[in-house]
Amino acid sequence: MRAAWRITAKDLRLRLRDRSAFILGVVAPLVLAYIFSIVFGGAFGNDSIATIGFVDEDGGEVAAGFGEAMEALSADGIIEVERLDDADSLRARVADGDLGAGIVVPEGFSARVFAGEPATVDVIGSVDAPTVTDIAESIATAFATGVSDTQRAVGAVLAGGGGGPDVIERVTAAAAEVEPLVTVGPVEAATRVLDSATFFSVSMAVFFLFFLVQFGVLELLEEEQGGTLARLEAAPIPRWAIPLGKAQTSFVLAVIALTILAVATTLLMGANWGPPLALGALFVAVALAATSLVGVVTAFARTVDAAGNLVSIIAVVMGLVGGSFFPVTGGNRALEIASLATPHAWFMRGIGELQAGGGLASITPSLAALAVFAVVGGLGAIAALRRRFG
Amino acid sequence: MKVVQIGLVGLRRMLRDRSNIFFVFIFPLVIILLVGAQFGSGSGPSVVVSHDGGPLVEAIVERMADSVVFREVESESEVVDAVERGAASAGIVFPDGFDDAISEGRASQIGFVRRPDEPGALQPILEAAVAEVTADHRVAAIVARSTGAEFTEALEDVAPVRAAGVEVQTERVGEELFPDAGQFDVGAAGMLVMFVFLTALTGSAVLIQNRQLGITHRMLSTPTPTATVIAGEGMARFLVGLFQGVYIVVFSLILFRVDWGDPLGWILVLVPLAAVGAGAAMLLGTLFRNPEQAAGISVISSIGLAALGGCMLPLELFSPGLRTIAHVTPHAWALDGFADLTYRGGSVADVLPEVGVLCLYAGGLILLASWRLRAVIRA
Repeated sequence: MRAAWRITAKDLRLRLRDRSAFILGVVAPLVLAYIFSIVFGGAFGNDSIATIGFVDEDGGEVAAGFGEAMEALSADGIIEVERLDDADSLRARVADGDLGAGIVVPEGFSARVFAGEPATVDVIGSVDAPTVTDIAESIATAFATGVSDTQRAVGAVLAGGGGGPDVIERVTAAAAEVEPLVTVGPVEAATRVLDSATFFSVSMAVFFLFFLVQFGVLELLEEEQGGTLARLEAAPIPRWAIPLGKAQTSFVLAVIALTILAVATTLLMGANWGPPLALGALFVAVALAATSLVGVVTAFARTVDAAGNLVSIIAVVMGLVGGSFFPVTGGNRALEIASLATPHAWFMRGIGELQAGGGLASITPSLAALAVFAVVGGLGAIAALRRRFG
Repeated sequence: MKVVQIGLVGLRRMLRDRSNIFFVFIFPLVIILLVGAQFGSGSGPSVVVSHDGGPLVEAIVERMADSVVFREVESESEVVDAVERGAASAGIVFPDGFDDAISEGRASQIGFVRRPDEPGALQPILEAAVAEVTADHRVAAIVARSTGAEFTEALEDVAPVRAAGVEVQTERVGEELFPDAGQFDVGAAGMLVMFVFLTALTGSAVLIQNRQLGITHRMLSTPTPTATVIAGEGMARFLVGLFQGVYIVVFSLILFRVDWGDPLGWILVLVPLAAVGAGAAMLLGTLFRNPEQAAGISVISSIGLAALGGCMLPLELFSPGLRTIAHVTPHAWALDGFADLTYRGGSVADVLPEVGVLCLYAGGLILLASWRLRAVIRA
């Protein structure tokens, strides 16, 4: 063990003197996380509330009721409502892209409804905001259906011979009193989705981790090619101490870089990585997984260059599939399932659990999955090294 | 002539490097495919739903299918889990026996699941579908209340009754941001610009290797002026970038039917873009002494500039302030050029301003790099 740590200490000293490890492990993820969160922050998720315009050109009782229903949706935080003076100004705002969609209650609407004549409600939506237009259309449809429900009820009562001079008032009053048959109620849910600053901090950290850990294990091939490995082997130390020392270098570099990044992005970008203890467990697990996976690639590669190239390819593909560049959940189901074959996805999932307020127990699946990567990769690397060096 | 020869040697070296099989030939096309698959379809927000069946429930789900994409799961906990992890924008939980309850006039509550950080704007879409599908039931409830009749009898009576009603008319206004853009078009242009720059820029490491291995000095020991050697090194980076660009255009056209517009147009944009990449690579090659560091910085700055320049998220979706900042990068100008040629419906003449700006970038970078390179080579 002493020998292995000696090798690690020497390698770490070398790495700290050379800036490459620092650039790849810390500078790259930090700079890119910052740029990505600026560029994609606004378009990330749907965290802005849709604003829907409302124009009451009618001024009557029914339109006023509609206005109140819209305000109620706004009070529930479902949409925001902006009242405008007339349909033309709404149309101009939507055409400019200022508003996604709006609803117009035209002049004479209430009078037509009371007279039992066909009436219309107009929705003006932007061609580039289909979902907001759908929402406005739905609000109008729900309201229109309510109006026609009352009209139909009046018709049904009249048809059933239950008329009388006050039938309209009676039925309208009943419509207002009757308990709604179907209600829509909220179901408690937390958020295990990372906000954009945290997402890019975490995703870039884990993406570049796979490039950073090369600086330890790849050294084995460099020593082999440079002839220093033979000299090390001649020394009175156990043979396994050499690869172990290199793996320890990767592991230590990984944990140091992750820690620096967590602190730096928390301070600079307001990223939320979660409680330190559980986070530490995730860091250790992902550092082991990355070291083992890069280790097994290294053990199979013939030259330093070949190993470096192969690791880059695997790191880039896993980063892409694992959701380092864009969230893979939502939308494409096949990609979501494929992402589970990467340590990236499990690591980010773990951070998501911590962000939702979970403790060590909540990240057990992530820790277990990362441990599987570490063990499988580690055993593969050991087997390959045995064959290679006897 | 020597300039072109030195340049061609550089291109040949790039093509012989086996790792480039992936990063130059396979990777760009895979990314174009993935980005197109993830974002190009545009079929609406995703919603998970759980229910125990029945005609009313199915009618409600069917009504909403125009606006959202549904995925059905078994239980409420699965709905909540999918929403919490971001696998869906919202979730809907129909209580067991929903259909029976409504058919008998008993009140029932549908659960709407959303994350605390999401506004839940999809709820009105659910409410409208419910209102339309259960309209008869609501009318029957009103009639029962007014006349004291039984709900189930009223339900049969109201079914044939019609009213003048209120019609919702929708008018769509504004100009589409990407009118004729195919699924892969917008993403492909972004990736082309990113990879031309990236592939050219990673050549900065080759420039340093050439100095380390003494190739540059050996070239200078032949009767070749310094200016020719510098121009040749630049030509190599330029040819590599140009090759990458033409490769992506041709193969994305064949594989994904990406529309690149007039060939003269995209060549006009691609040539100065590759020259910008070449200039940047030469400059970077003079700033570092270690090829690994240069390669690392190349990748970081290529990805960073690409994100900032609109290669990953279309410039049209940037805020106005950020769009101005984006145009500090040559990427944004090149993308504007490709947009003119394709979905903005312009002609070759429309890209000339963007081509001009790219030429200025290329000229400036190449001059600066040549001056630096001369100093470095002679040192």
